[in-house]
Amino acid sequence: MRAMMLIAGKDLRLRIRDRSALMVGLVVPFTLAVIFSLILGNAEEGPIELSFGVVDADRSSVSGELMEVLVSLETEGIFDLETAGDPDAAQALIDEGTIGAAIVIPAGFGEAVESGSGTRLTVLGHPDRPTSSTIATSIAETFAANIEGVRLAAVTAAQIGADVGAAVAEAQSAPPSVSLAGIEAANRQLDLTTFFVAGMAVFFLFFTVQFGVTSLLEEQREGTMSRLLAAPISRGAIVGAKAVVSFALGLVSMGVLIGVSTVLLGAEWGNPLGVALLVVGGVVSAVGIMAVVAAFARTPEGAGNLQAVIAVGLGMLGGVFFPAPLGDGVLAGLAMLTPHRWFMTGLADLAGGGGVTVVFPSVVALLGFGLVTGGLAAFRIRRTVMA
Amino acid sequence: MKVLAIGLTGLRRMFRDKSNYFFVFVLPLGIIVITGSLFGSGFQPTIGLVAPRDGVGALLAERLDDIADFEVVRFDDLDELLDSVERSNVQAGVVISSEFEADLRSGELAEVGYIARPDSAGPQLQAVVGAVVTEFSYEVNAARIAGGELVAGVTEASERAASLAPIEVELSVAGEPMFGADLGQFDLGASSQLVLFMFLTGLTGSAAMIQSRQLGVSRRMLSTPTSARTIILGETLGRFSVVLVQGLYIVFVTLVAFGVDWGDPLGAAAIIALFGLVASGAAMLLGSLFRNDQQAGGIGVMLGLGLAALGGAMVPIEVMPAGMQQVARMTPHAWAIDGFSTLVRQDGTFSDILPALGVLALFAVGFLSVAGWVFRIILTRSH
Amino acid sequence: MTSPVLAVEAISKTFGEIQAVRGVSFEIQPGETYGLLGPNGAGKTTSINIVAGLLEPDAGSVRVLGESLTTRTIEPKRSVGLVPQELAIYPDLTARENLRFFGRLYDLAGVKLSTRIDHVLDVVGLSDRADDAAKEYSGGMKRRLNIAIGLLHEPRLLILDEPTVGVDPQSRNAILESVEELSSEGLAVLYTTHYMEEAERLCDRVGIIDDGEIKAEGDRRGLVALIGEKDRIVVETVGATDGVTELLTAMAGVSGATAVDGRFDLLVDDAASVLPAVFGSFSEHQVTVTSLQVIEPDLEAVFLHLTGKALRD
Repeated sequence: MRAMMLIAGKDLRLRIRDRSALMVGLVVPFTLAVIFSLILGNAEEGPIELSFGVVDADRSSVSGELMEVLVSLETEGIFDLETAGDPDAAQALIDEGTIGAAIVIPAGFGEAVESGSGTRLTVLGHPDRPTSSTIATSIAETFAANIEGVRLAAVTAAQIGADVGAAVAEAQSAPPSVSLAGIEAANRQLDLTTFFVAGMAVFFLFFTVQFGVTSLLEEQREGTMSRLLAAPISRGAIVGAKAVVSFALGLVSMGVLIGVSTVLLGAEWGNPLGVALLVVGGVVSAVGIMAVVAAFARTPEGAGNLQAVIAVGLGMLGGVFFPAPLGDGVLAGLAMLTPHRWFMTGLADLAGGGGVTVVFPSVVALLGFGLVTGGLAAFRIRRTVMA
Repeated sequence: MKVLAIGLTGLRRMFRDKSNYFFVFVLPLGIIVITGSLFGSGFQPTIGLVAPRDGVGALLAERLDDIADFEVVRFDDLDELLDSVERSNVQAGVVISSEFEADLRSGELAEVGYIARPDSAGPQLQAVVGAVVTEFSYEVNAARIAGGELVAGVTEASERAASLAPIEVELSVAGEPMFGADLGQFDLGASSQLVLFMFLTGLTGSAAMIQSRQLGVSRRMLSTPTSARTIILGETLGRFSVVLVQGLYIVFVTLVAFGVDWGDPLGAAAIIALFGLVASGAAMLLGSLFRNDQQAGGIGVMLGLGLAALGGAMVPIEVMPAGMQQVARMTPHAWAIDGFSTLVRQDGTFSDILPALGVLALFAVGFLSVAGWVFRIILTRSH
Repeated sequence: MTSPVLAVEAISKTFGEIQAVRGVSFEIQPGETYGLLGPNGAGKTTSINIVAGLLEPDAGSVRVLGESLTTRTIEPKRSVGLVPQELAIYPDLTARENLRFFGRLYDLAGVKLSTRIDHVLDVVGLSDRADDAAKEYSGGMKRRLNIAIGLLHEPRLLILDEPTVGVDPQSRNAILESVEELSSEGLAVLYTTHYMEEAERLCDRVGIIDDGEIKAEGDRRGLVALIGEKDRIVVETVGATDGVTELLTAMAGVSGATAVDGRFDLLVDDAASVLPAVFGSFSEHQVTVTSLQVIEPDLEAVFLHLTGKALRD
């Protein structure tokens, strides 16, 4: 144990003197996370502010009803409403970005509705603001559905010889028989800043821990390995020291990134105990995977190159660069094979406000990655380096 | 000729390291494929649905299934659906409970559950679902007026409703779309990734330059009858050829495999060549300023990804806050992407992208001359 | 009879198809310097790695001060100091930091450690550069630091694996001198080299190793006697030399003489005893001797004789 700590201490001193680990473990991921959260600043501002236009070319009582609906929604603060004189004026407002979409009530709309003939509401939109178009369309469609529903009541009553007027009045005034009711869903997704800090942290974690395990190969190349082997210490202490260094570098870099990002960027990592478990799991998996590469490589350069390929490849598949759901396709399947994905999923589960228990599946998966690869690495190292 | 020899040695050394095949060829394509499938125009919102298999609830479920705007995926129970919504695997969820029909029959208000995360597209989809539910509600109403069996009545009412003169809602979208439908799934991602990777590869390649210096190869070159200028040009050519090989490879493969539109060939070639020079210049500068190849590697990755992010290669500039858009304009990436988007989205020609090309040329000249100056100092000083 | 510091008995090691070491045995007494002489690939480093406990032999045993030493034993390793062939130092650490680290691996600490560090730095002549990073050192200085680390914990057995490879003549001499001094202080030394001169100068006994086997063992004289090699005398002359050759050939103790263009090449039993007579013959014939060289049979010749190979190829 003492020998292990001695070797680990020596390695840490070398890493600090070299500064590369500091760069890869802290400076690079933090800088990138800052940049990402800067460029995504807009997306951070919560619900989108909507603003719509309306053109009432009809000015009938029916169009008045639609106007009333729109005004009441504006009063409720759901969106801002602009009135435009004609469709061209509305389109101009859309193009200059003042409003997102506009509903155009054509002349003769009210008359058509009253007479029971077909008619059409037009929604003007902009290709870059599909959300506004969708909402405006839905408002119009709901309004149309109300009119059609009343008509349907009238037609049905007429068919069975019931009182049409009463049916219409009933349909207009009675509460709907079916309605939508919101069910609360927790937001088990990270906010963008936290996502990027966490993504960068776990991505570069794999590069940070590699300094520890790869130094085993460096000791071999430099010849210092024979000195260590000749010293009155157990062989396990040598390998153990490398694992300890990797582990320490990983923990420190994650810890500092979490602390700094919380204070400076307002990242929200969630339940501290849960985060701690995930970090430990993440570091264990990173150390295991990087160790197995080092164990099968011949030179530190060879190991470094392959480790970089694997770290980048896993990061790419694990989706740390894209704050988008991976759905349930092939990509999502591949993502499950990366520790990155499990780490991010665990954090997302915490963000949903769950207690520490929600991270257990992720932590188990991460530890699984680490123990399997770490075990393989240990087995291989016993047969090669230590033979 | 000497310039060429030095340059080719650089290229050869790069590909002697097998892992560079991954970084130069495999990784960019992987990223293009992934971003294409995540953010490409093939994206359609998905709604998860839990509904009874028969009765009135099944009728409503069918109606939701028929909506063209989104895909509907069935879930077995609420927990599963909730989990999927919370993880954002589906954008929203609709729950028609087993009591739905009983509530309707007893005349009580029958509620349809709607699940969405507040920060997603969910609330917008709610309007679409809401319109369908409203329609359905009136059909139930009509069935009650008609009397008789509820399921048959609703079906009949819906048929009757279809025969009525419709009040249509037409969406008319005009203007030039940022992510237009005519753009292929990979079109925008491809040019952003091209720019990102050309620059990144250039910068990470600067580690090789530092190794050349560490090994004393550069000084040995200088001891031969070769001028410092030739060595600098040769090293630049080495970086440039790697970057160019990658750029052309990305263009070629995306063109052939995904049919990505790169616009006017002359214009695209000009952007790639100039941006390649910018990347080589930046690489020369980085390689001259650092002595430790590992540190330069780390800084290279940081600058490569960071500048790409700032320059709009990860998130379109249009989506950035105003201040950041100003910053973006200071990166060569933004100008290259701007050039490509002019070529592709507006069918621009060489002359349309002259401003972008001019800025890129300025970047290239700036980087290369500063790098050449610094490199000469380092090459000719004692240590 | 004193008990040996190191007793190696019939060690063997096979790597895949290659039998690197086959049944090597030797012993080293206190104060004795034992040389393993052989070309590259002869099995020197494998033998040393087994002796130092880096490598587990397929068969055979290693005993240090009577205790069995394997890759898994810890205590016997305290008595062994290894100076590996590679520069086994951390270039980013200073000499003192390197020493401190390795010293602590041997459980040295506190004042004792500091005193030992100062001492070995002094022995290898690095005291004034002790606090510079090792990467700033010249090749020779790195070699000397490499040796200093092996001496730090006062081992009873010092193993030096080709310690002078790639070292400038000055440092090389310094290294050889310190080995001689250590040996005189009673340290047992195991020294591998493919430099015949080093083996001749340093080693009390030499084991000639090739193809993983010790082909012959003994002190220089014994080894040479083993192959019956004679001294050579080469004389360069000017002037008429008619009849000298015959005279020389007839001389007692001279077994052969040839002359080409005034260059005489004599094969003799013992150079020292015939030299006066040889000189006499030349002056008798008034031949001017411009140079004279006595070539004693060396280990190189022994090696060539035993293995049919040159030491350096």
